Amino acid sequence: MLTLQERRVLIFLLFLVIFGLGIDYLRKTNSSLKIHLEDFINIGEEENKFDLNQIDKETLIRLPGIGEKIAKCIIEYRQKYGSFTDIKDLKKIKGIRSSTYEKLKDFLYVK
Amino acid sequence: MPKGFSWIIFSIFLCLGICVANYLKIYFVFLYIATLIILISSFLLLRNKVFIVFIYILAFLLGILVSLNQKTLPLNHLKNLKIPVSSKIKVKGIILDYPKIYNEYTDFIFGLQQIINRENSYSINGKILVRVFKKENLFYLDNLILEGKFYLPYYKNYRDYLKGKGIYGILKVGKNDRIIHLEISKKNSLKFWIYKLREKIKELFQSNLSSFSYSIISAVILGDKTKISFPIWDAFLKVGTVHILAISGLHIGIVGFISLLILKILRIPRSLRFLLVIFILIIYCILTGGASSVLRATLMGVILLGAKIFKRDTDIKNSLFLSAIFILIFSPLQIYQISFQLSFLSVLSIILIFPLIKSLFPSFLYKNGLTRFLALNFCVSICSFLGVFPLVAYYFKIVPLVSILANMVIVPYMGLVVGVSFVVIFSKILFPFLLPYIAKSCDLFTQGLFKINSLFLKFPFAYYKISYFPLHWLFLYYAFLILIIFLFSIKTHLLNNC
Repeated sequence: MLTLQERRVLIFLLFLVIFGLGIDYLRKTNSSLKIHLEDFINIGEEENKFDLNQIDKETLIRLPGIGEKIAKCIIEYRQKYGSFTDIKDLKKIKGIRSSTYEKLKDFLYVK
Repeated sequence: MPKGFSWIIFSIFLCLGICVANYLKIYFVFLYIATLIILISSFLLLRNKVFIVFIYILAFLLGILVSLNQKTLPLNHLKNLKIPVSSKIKVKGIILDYPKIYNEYTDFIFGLQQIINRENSYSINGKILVRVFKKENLFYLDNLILEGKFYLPYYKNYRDYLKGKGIYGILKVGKNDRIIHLEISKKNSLKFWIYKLREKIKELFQSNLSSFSYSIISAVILGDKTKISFPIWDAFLKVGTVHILAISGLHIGIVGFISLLILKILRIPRSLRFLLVIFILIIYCILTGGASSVLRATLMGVILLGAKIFKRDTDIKNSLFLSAIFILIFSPLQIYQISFQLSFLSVLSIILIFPLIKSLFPSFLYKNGLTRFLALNFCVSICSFLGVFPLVAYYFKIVPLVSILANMVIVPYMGLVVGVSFVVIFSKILFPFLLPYIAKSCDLFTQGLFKINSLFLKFPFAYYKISYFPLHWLFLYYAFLILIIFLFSIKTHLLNNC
């Protein structure tokens, strides 16, 4: 069995680790977020935009609000109807809500 | 450590806690209070037999806590900012690792400090992988302002790999994007001094070895794998000897052995000698970038040497599990990293299976020098294969059948290559006039390494490619292996008692 001294050392070490963990957690959760991200990022430049009728699935998934399923639906829509005529056609895709559309329209365009 | 408490069981509970945390939806604060209650209870039950049970419960709770804490990110963390992909940002921060220079770009991990626009700056937190597509002098600990496009890692595996390292995004700095070098802040630190030493050693290898040998030696001595071309890497992977290109226990062992030898020749007292070797091992760990296997081996070395200083019994199993506990408490997500799993599993399998395999051979084999060397080598090689091949099959979809035989030859040979490489470094300081000749030998040995590996690759059925290795097979295999080891240990125990 562990000696009494070894038990004390073990408990003391565990106390230090658990105490430190609590401090670290407090520090993280008490940070503030007062940033207006729009002021710090540069979106919507022509070079950052993608043609909705040309963009591939891999790039689509990297855009905000688009997952594997929605990307697949966009590609299927393009195959079914030939092409998008307007950026607003995105709203017809199942899974794209108006909030997602608002985020996406800065990244996509239709020629 | 006396009977009744085992670091092995402690680490198993810790790992369980880390894994369970993925499926738990519980508030950190509640769990923290519960842990404190258990901690106080175990303190009150210090003299009681149930104390050990409380310690294991604490290990389990600690596993959950560290995992939850790791996943909790400050509000001003990069991940919480939700920066849209492909948007252009300007950030201030510090280079946190040795920049990896490839042909077309340079990669490094960047610790973010501020996000900047024309007028303001805002303090942010987190790490980002930076890829610079232009020639630029970039060094470890450089303070920079970078302009670039923000991306998220596309492939899930790669995303998880980066997440395990605390990296939540990629910044691509193009040819036209600006890089501003700020004042040098930490250039007098020990870390920077070690970095300078690393650069000097790199230069030494580069100027004295052929480009092929330089690519191999800088990987096995400095942990810089950027110069190894894919065909070379692939050849080692197919033969099952790719682990020798990563720094591991073998290298740490050689560094420790050489250091101990030199300090003994200098007649340094025993305890001071061990203390100095601990210091040297830590420096070597930082010098090589502190990869998972290096960290594991260094911690094991430090624990074993520490036990020697305090005149305690040394136990390799305990040192292995203690090092796992240290790493996992500091970085719990490492449990999901392939390098961590392979590194620990290979050492553990050698420790646990070795007595079983050794007992299968007739005892006269271990009496003669040469047969003993071959038999022991074969045992170690087969143990390591049995321990890691399902994991290799699961992750890399390949079973390197020739690996048992190849490791028997290549691992001891690698010891020679590593040893000679360190002689190259020392000869620069002690007898520089011999350096060109020693470097030539090092060159020859390194090329020999690749030749031997290529020979094994030509063997029929050297490796077998598979399309899929189910996860439940993996668990079944390890359960079966544990059962065999358990039955063998019972048999040995009974025989010893008889």
